[in-house]
Amino acid sequence: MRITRKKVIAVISSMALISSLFLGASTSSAARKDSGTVTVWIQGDAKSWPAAVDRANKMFNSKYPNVKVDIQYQTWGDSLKKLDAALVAGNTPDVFEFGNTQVLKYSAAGALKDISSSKSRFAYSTNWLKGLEEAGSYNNKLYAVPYYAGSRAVMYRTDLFTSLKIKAPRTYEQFTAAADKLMAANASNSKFSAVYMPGKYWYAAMGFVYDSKGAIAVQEAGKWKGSLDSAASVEGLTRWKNIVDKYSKADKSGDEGGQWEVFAGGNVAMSYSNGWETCCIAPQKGAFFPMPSIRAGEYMPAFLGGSNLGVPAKAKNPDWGVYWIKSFTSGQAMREIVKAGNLPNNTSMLTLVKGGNAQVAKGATSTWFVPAAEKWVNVENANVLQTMLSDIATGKKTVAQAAEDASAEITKLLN
Amino acid sequence: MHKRSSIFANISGFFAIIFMGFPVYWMVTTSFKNRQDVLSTEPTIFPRSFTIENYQNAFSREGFYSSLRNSLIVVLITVAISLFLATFASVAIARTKFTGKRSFISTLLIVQMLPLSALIIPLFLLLTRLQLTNTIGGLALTYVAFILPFTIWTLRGFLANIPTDIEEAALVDGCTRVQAYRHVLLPLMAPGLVATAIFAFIQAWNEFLLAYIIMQSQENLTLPVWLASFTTRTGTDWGPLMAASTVTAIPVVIFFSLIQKRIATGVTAGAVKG
Amino acid sequence: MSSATKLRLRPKKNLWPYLLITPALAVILLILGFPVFRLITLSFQQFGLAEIVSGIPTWVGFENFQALLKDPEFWIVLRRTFIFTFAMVAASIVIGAWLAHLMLRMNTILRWLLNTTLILVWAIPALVGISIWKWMFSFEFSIITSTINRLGFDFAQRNWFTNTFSGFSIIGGVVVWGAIPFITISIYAALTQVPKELLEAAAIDGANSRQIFRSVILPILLPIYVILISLSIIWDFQVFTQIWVLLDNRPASEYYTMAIYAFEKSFGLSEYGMGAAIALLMIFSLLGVTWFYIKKMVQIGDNNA
Repeated sequence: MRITRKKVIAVISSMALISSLFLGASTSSAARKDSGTVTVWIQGDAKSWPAAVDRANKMFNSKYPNVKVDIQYQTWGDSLKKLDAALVAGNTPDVFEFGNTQVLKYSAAGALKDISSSKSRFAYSTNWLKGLEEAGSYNNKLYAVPYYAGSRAVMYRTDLFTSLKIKAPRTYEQFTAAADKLMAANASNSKFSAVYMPGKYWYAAMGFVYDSKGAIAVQEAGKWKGSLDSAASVEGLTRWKNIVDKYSKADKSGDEGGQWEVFAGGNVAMSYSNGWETCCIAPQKGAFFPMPSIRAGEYMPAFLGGSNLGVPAKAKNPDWGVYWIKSFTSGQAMREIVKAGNLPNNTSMLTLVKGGNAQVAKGATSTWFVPAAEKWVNVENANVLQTMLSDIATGKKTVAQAAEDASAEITKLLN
Repeated sequence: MHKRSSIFANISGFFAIIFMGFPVYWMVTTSFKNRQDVLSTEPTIFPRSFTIENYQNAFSREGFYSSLRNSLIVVLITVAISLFLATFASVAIARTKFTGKRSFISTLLIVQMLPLSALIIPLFLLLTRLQLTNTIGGLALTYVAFILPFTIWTLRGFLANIPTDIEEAALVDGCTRVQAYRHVLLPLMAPGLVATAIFAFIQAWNEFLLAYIIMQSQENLTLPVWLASFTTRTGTDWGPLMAASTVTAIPVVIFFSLIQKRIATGVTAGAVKG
Repeated sequence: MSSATKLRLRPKKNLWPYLLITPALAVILLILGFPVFRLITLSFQQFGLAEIVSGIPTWVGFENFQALLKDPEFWIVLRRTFIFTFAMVAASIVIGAWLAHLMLRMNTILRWLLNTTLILVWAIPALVGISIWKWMFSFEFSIITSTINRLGFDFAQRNWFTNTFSGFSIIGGVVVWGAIPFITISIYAALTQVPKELLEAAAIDGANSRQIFRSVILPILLPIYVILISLSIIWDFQVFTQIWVLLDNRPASEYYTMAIYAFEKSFGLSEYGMGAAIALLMIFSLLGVTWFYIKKMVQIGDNNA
């Protein structure tokens, strides 16, 4: 019985201890020593290029032999929540990976360290991909370093193209002609898509918009204005809807997640895909061609996706963070990243891109990017584009009506 | 009060098993299918292939053993501490009168209504100040706080069902109060403890969001966070995920089947004298 | 036991109860006290990314609440949440109770099988259970759609979530599926505890089955129903993961419930003050609905010492 009472008292006193800790504690800023830990939050995707991570760590440790590199892999869905919580608590990592559409909001809010002065120390910083560099910059200052890029082109079934004697299209007319031919040859298969185009695939649909010289939003006198309802944008959206209606059996209210799995199933002749998607389409065989523009000799602008690496303003060891980023984007590490099926963060290494990805890289000479508005993430989070597109694809709204509604909402969200 | 079995009940039961069990069946069979069969656009109810590749894949993934170990530790600590603390508190509510009892009970009931996601950021701030982030103890303590109200309340209901005469007889026989509790009341509470243990076990075993936010180092992840790593930009690895999930469910099933008889009595006894 | 004995055994001023509750109360207050306090202050602030970085919140008084109460979307979401909760609670209690009563009349093997199935469902990690459902109703790989097609219907490939009614039905299906094991097992256990003698006595007295149910079974079952219903209301009102996962982590606004709405405002739009205000209104609505239950429970808990 005495034990029980003692236990009770012990529990209570340990509670008191903890609460006094809470009241009295403050984040002690550790003196900068050359030993400690640099904490890196990158997405789990990097587990597919472990050699690059190894090289980065080796290079880092050759300068800081006593600093431990702690790589903590994140998941795309929840990493920003974790970052926000860490920012509030002042307990941030030293390196954080952003999707390139996410970073602007954080740069603008002052959550990231201005690393403009270190720019020249990063490899290839003079010929970084412009889109990625812009994504990581705000007010002409650099906040996040280009990490790797991804772009999309048309992935096609080589066997189907050979058997119907179709050559990789170079103009938009050849593209639709090929799709017509494929549809006709597979008329008996009710699940067959000549062009697999899910209804919420906004990266693809906006390519059509930008190809028609339209835009998602434009800046007028310091204010953002949704411009999907412009004549040019509506023209692009109408062409996109035409593709959906005529050639696609994809889910009109679905997105492109896992489209390679559908491709693998054998009912798809072409899909608008990332360079690495050939990884996962066995037993089908796929190759790429850049999506042709409506203007002969040009490519349809592709969305330049990718990631940037930033150092949170409140990071405990910002210098180590910067140096780790430098190591991770060094020539040697970048080569490994490219080998794993990504586009490099710079133009001079584009020639290293091999296989299907080479075609993707070719198409990536013409790109578009989301409006450089601080509040752009809100448009993505509110699903404005996805909702508009699936309304168009399912016929719930006319193109003009859906575009007008979306534009109004974009204007509201961006300002 | 079992009655003679009726055809209607048996047929309904049969359909209930099918409808309730199908997702489970689908998980287990998928875990043994090859990739092509998993990704078939013409899926069939009975599998067309058999492979243990998915299990090999799941086991060989980085972090399986460490996350299994972490999950077991977190769950055991959580269950142990919450039962320990809840036993005391429930005895206080069910067996004594004290000023502030109403407020205490209200707190227990209202805490169960707090939406977890709204509390995450301040919670993380707090745990940082306490230096409990990225520690198993911190995660377990957080689980205990969320689980305690339900546990205390259930145990209280259970205690209310045990006649006070029993322990008072023990007191009359010369036992001290603590002896009476320990030797008379505690054994009678066992089924209630088991029921609440199950509840605490499942809650802590399956929780994702807190575990993801609080734990940081790779070697500190728990199973649900590890399971989330099966989904990357290249999609979800369905086969291995189903294999891993099947494995993850096994400890719970074992835990259950060991003490199932007692849950039943525990859950109701806890409630009947609501 | 006479009250005289009671008094003797329980000294009036006693520290025991406080010693007994302090550890539990300390953990709850330590871990949840500050977050709840911060949630309340947050709801009176404008707190976005800029405030997170500067650490200096902007106090806005009741502005968040005023903005919400004026926003038609808030009311739509609140109404939707109530309807959804009501439907979920009704469905899970009715089906759960029905199964429990049927279990009394099943043969032993079926009863054992059903019991095992229920436990398996309970044991699957929630996230995985939901993913399986999502997959069963996916556009391309759905076993449900293809089975329906094989039975001779033409559903082709189908997005079950385009139509919000069918979408919410599936979400509801997942919620109910996950809730049934707890409900059925609890009610079944209660039923098996109805003393045989009571039933026999009632039968001898000439009561018919409806009368037996009303006068013998119901009084024993009522308390457990009250608890199960209240818990279901609390849980179903806060349903989040099911909707989130089934709709690809980006539910369209016609699928917003209070929990999703608060989450989107907080984490999606970084309007943490607004998100906190929604969360508080959510807690208040829930308190409103369960007021009777809480009052009753506090009373019962207070009396039966």
